[in-house]
Amino acid sequence: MEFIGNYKDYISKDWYDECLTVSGVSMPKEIDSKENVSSKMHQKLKDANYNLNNTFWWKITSNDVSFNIANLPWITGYTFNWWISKTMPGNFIPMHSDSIDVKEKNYKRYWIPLQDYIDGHVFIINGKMVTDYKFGDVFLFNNHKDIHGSANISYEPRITLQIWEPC
Amino acid sequence: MDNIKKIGNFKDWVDPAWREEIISKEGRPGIMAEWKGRHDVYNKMIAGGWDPSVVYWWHYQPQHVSFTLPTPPWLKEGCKIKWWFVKLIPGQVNPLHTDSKEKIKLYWLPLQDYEFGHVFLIDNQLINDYVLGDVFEFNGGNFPHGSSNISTSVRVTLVIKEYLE
Repeated sequence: MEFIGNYKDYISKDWYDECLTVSGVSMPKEIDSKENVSSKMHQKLKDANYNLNNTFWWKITSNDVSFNIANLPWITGYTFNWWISKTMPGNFIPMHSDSIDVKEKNYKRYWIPLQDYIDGHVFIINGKMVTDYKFGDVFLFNNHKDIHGSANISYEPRITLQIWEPC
Repeated sequence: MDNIKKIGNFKDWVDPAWREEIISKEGRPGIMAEWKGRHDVYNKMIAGGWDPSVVYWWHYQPQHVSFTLPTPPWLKEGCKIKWWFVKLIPGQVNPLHTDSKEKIKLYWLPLQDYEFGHVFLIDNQLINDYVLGDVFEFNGGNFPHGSSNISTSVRVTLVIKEYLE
């Protein structure tokens, strides 16, 4: 994963605060009913005895918040998709490779923490843990299919912005 | 020692049946309520959202298994030890914490090779360069540590506490 730069002047701290107050979609508990997603990944998780009726993490989209995310200076294309991941203490996101139902084959995948690194906020990508980041840092996946996952074994919520940009 | 150091590989000492037995049954539920009064961070954890009644991990002490542990080969015969296994099935976690500052040494031994998603974190460092039977001495009294399993396989580890006095 490549560090692109810090863009804290373009990211509002209010986003973090608002995300604390909304729940969003319980993942994967509510995903089948709301997004009708059925994937090989879910079957793999079931086979590993994950209980998909539990909340692993919360997915927050534009439907859940009052703010809009636009005009980001590192985005070079005309459009992008975003969502926010909220992992509360004890929550996690199993290791996975993104699978999004889109027509475009090539994407840039960005990862942006909405807070400074906290001990116990685990983010692993391609076998390496990402630490010592700051609010507003922007990271680009080497490949949008890179395997990644996260866990929160700290005492504070962990909130990150996820962006897909067609290219 | 700083936070953690490898002292060797003792795979031949590890009986594969230990892991098999631990995987096959439940031990003592690892719940946050048991940390009340034992760990300084308990109140902070509950305030942060940890559920005191959820089983976050499984704990196996001698009374939970059918086997006895022979003296570890890196320790002297007759030394005073306490041991337990920790099992994390996929989706389980062990919160970040610091152990009591007793006059002890702590050893950590994985019962399987490292796998993506088997997380052991100490002092902001991911421990991922290990194989079954590796033994690490770690400074759990001074450095926060915790673990999680976001893989698709069960993770079993052995912790041995050696009393120095």
